[in-house]
Amino acid sequence: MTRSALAALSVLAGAALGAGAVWLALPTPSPTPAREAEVPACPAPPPMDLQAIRAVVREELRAFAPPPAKPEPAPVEHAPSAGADAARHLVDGSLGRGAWTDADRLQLQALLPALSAAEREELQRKLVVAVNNEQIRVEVSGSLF
Amino acid sequence: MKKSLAAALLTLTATAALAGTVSNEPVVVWTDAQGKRSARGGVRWVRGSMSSVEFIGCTLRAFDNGLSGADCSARTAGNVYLGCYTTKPSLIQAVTSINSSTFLVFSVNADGTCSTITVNNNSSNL
Repeated sequence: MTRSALAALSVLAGAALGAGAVWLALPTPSPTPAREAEVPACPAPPPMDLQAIRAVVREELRAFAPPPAKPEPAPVEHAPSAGADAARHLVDGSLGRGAWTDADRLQLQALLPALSAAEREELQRKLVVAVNNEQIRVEVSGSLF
Repeated sequence: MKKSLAAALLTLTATAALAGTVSNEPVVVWTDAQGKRSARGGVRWVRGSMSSVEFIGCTLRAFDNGLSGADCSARTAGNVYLGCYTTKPSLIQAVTSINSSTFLVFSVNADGTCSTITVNNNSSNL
């Protein structure tokens, strides 16, 4: 290779390096900004009525609210029962005798499930008050009823 | 030697199993200054007493029509009987916790209903 050719090569290499350095130093070109004229304009929202907003909120809340709890069914009360007379007769008989025995208790236990709450309470009150006031002798071992 | 050691160990074990304070009170029925009557007694202690008439306890009842109730009663060694009944859920709830370690106290209204039911479950009652 001749001396002149070497000189030409080195000039070309230097020019290439310089061009590369200038390309690297230049800022990255930003994407072309969209022109405002190309964006479709949104129509202005109609003025909201406060009452209407409240109604919508209420409607939504109602939709998500848990259903109201069903009321507990009232305990079924028996109508005046056939056993009531027998139970009254039993308690009155023991009060008359002045003693409450194991046999009386067994009979009452058999009648109790058929009585209404009021009938049961009436008999319990009558018997307990008589026992507590010592108007009747308790001959059962354990509970009165 | 071995026998006496075994006997000593057995005694120690038995003593440890029965350690702790023990309340021993018979069934008592009393009337307060306002005229309200009450009864008290330890369920386990009464069971082990020498008296053939003494007792204290409560009965729970539930019926298939949804109603329930309880009654409590006690009798002293001197044959004094006191009872009460209730349909109040809070008092019925107290009755459900009675067991062999219970020291029971109940008070009675003039109409025979239970005024209070106190259930004290304690190792000293065993």
